[in-house]
Amino acid sequence: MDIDKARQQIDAWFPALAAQGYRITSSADVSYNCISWAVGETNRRWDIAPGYYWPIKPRARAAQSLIFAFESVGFKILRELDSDTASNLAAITPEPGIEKVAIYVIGKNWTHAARTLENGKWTSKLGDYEDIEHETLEGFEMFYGKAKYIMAKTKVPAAAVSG
Amino acid sequence: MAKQLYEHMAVGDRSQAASPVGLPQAIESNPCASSLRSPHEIRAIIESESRIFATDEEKFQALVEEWKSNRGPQSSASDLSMAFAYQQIVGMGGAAVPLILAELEERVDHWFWALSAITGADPVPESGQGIMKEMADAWLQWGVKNGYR
Repeated sequence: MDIDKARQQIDAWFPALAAQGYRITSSADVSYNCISWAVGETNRRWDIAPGYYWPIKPRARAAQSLIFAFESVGFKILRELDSDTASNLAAITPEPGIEKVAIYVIGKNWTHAARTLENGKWTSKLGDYEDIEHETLEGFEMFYGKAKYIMAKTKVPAAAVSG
Repeated sequence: MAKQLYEHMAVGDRSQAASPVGLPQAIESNPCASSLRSPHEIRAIIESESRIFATDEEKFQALVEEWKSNRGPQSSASDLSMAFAYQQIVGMGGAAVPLILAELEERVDHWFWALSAITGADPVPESGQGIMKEMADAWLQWGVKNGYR
């Protein structure tokens, strides 16, 4: 799919996101999903469906299951977003040296995850489709509901990873 | 009259069902048509309309197209598999298995839920979980071993 068609499709799915702007940063790829992308993997899908990878048992759709899954790779809950917008803002603001992931929920079930980038923006993989870079966590209501939990972990320096 | 119409359909007159559009005129205009339809018809609901097909393969292809064209950006295969077209494929049971495997061989996609749901098997080794190509390969090998291919 060319980038104009991809943009048309994304705009149709997420009109509120289209209004605030986003940037497509990859081509469509069925090999990984938003959860994989949030933990930095692009070779396998993290999913509760049979045959897919899920790091914990039981495989469940409850938001808590995704929280445990992220905990298995070192993230800890930073904040459950609520009506305290000032505290929410502090939690969702990217910080140098800290990796943050946002968990979206509908009802009590997880639907999507996004993560912070070095440039202070967020990145999301849209199902089997493209990765995008977005300014805020808003605009995904149509399919993903709202961001509810922010988790964080200290970034491992590149030298430590390679060495 | 009703009996005649039923018999007309029950013998499997596919000549009028070759294209995936409605029933023969006499049935279509009969208010009691639903009670006259043969249980052996190959039916599916495509684009919110009930259609009949000449073969399982035609029905399957129409449902695959319907599923793909209505697919959204859902993150989980469990959501994608809840689509009505996908559920109808699962509902085809064993007849769908060789068709799904052929589709999977052509292009790796989220057919694992359907295959597991129909067959009760889960041949993907732990080391291959989530790796789409390895999942597909495991199912294709399972298909050979179980006489589906």
